[in-house]
Amino acid sequence: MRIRLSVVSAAILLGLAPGVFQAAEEKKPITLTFFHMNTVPGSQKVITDAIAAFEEKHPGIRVRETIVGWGDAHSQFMISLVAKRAPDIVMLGGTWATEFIRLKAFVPIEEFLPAEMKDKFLPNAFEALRDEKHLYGLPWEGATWGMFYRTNLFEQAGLDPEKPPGNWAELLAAAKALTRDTNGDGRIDQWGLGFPAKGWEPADFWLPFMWQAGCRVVEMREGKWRGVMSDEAGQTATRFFVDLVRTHRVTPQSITGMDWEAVKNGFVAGRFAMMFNGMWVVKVIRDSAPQLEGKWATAPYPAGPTGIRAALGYPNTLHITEQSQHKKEAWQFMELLYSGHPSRLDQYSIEVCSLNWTKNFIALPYSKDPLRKPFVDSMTFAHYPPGAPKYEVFRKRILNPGLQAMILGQRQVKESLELFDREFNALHP
Amino acid sequence: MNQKQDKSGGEDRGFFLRKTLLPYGFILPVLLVVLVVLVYPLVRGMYLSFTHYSLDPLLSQKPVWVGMMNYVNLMKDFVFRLSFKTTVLWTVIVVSGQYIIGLVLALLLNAEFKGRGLFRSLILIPWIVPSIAAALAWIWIYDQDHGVLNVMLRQLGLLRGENVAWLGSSTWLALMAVCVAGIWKGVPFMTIVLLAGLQSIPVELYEASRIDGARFRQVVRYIIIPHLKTISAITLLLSTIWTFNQFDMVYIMTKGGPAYATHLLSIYTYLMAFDANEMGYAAAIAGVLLVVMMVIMAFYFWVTRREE
Repeated sequence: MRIRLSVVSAAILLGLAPGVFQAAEEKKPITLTFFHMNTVPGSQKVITDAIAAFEEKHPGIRVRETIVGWGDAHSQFMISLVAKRAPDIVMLGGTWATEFIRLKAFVPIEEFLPAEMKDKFLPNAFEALRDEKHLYGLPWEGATWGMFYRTNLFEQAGLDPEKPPGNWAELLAAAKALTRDTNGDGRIDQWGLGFPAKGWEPADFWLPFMWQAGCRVVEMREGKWRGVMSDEAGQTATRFFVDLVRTHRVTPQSITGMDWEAVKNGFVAGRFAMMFNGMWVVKVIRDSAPQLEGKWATAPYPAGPTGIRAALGYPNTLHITEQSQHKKEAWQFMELLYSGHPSRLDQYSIEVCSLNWTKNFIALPYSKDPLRKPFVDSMTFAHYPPGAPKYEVFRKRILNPGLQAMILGQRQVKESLELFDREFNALHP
Repeated sequence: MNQKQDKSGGEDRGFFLRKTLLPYGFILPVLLVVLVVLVYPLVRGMYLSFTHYSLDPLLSQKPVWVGMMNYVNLMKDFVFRLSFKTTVLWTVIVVSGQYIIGLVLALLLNAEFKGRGLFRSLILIPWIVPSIAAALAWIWIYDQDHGVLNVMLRQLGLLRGENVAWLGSSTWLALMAVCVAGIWKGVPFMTIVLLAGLQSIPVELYEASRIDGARFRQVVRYIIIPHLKTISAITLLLSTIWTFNQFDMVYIMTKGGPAYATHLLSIYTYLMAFDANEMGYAAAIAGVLLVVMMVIMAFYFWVTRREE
C-alpha cells in the first residue's frame, strides 16, 4: 500500500514537473547586455534614465551595461564575438560597422524598423550600415570635423573675421598672414594653422583634403578594393597637406606629437590662429576657456581647388548582435533610445556636444548656435572614412606613420602614396 | 611470519612511495600551473605562428596550417624590419643607461652617509610606480605647452623660442624621450641588485687596496668589476629581456610614433593581434621575439659557463 502511494505521488510530481519548470522558466528575468563607450556624466545620465524607464515598462527585463573605453572597444567587442559572449546591443565607432557586417555579427534590422522611424534619418546616415541586401543597425550620435579660427588674431593680421577661408588658396593666404613672430625673437610663436597628427589622428585630417581634391582614396574595382591614393588628385591634395608644414611653414612639424587636445590647447593659448578639429571641441573650449568668448568662431572646411566641399563626419552606430538570445527585447530597448521629445538620442547628442543624423536634429535651436552651425551644415557633405574591411589596419599600420614621415620630411609624397596603394591592395587581395 | 613479512613489506612500500612519489605530489600543483600558464600558451603560440589564424577563421576557431608563410611574409614586411631595428636600438640604449646609472647610484649608496637608508628606500619609487601611471606622468613632463621639462629648461635659459615637442617633433627626439622614461623606470632594479653585489665584496679587500695605495679607478677595475661580473650578467640579461618585451609605457606615450620612431616589436605584435586580428601573423612576430630571447639566454649561459 505504502509502495503504491509512493508510486502515485512520484507520478503526480513527474507529471507536474514540466509545468513547474515551465513556470520557473517564464518567470526567469531576461538580462539584456548593452555594450557602449560613453564616459561623459551628462550623457551617461541619459542612458541610465533610459534603462530605468525601460525596466519599469518591462518588469521582467533587466539591462546590464558594459562600459568600455574607446581605445579598447573594438578589440573587446571582437573578443566577445569570438568567445560567443557578444552583448545583445552594441554601440560602435562609426567606422567599425563595415568590418563586423562582413562577419555577420549583426541582425538585419528591417524586420523591426518601422518605415516612419527610418525616415527620420538623413539618407547618408546609413552609408556604413548596409550591405547589398540588408540594413544592420541604426545611426547613433556622431561628429563632423571643421575649422576653428581666432577672430581677434584675424583682426590683428588685417583679415576679415567674418570671412573665414572658403578654399585652399584663401586658407593658405590666411595661414601665411597669421604665422608670425609676435615677440620679435626671430622665431615663430603664432602659427597660421594647426591640426592633430599624433598617433592615430593624421589620416582623419588628411582625408578631407583628398576628397576636396577629388581623390576617392580607395574604390571598388571588379569586386576588389583598390587604393587610388597616388592618382593625380591624391598627389595634389597630399602635396598641399605636407607643404603646409614643409614648404609654406604655416604649420609646425611638431604637430606629429599633438593630439586633438594639444592642438586645442595651442589654439586657446594663441599658438594656432586656425585649427582643424572635431565638433566636440566647441563645448570643450566654451567650458575650459570662457575668457576666449567672442574671440573665436568656426567654419566648415574650405573647398578644394575644383570647388568640391567635403568634410569628415559620421555617426557612431547601434546594433543588435546575431548572438543575442533576446533580439525582440533588444530592439524594444533600442527603440526606446530613439524615443521621447526631445528624443533620448537628441539629449545624448546635446550632452556630448555632438550631432545626430536625424532631420529633426537640424531644426533644434541647439543646432542653430553660431559656433555649432558650421558643423551641422557640414553634415550634408560629410563622408565616412573608407569602408574597406581592412582600412582600419591600413590606417594604423601604414597610413598614419607614413603621413607623419612626410610631415617630418623623411619621405616624398609620390613614393609614399604609391606605397600606400601597394600596401592597401596587399591587404585586400 | 607471513603477517610480519606483509607488514614489513607494506612499510617498505609506504616508505618507497613517500620517498619517491610524495615529492612529485608536492610539486604537482606548481607543475600544473606552469604547464597551463606557461607551457601551453608557448606551444599554442608557436603552433599559431605556422597558421593563418585571421578574422574569419578566428570566429570559426579554425586556424589553417600555412607552414613558414608567416615568417616568410615577416621578412618582406618593412614595418617589421623597422620595428625590429627600433627595438634593438631601444633595448641597447635603455639597458646601457639603466646599468651605468644603476652602477653609479649603487656606488653612491654603498658609501657611508647620514640618511642612507632613506635614500635607498626613495630610489625604489620609479620601480614601484605602475607603468601606466609612470607613462602618463612622463607625457605630462614632456607636454609641449605645460610640461615641467620645457618650463625648467626655459627658466635655466637653455630654451628660447618655441617649446619643444619632445614626443613628436622629430623621430630621434621621440625615441630618446621614451628611452629616458624607460631608463628611469628600470634604474632602481639595477641599483638595488648591484648594491647587493657591492655589499657582498669583503671589506678586507678595500682595506688591503687602501694600504697598497690603490686609487678609486683601480679599486673599481680590480675589485668591484670582477666581483660584480656574475651579478651584472644576470641583471643585464633580465633587463634585456624585460626591455626587449616592453610594451605598456611606450604604447601609452607615443603609440609607436611619430613615423615608426618608437614602433617596438611588442607594439607591432599588439597591433597585428588585436587591431588587425591577424593572430597567426602576430604569433610569428612573437616567435621571432622568442628566438631573440633564446639567443640572448644562450649567450648568457655560454658566458657564465666559461667563467666557471
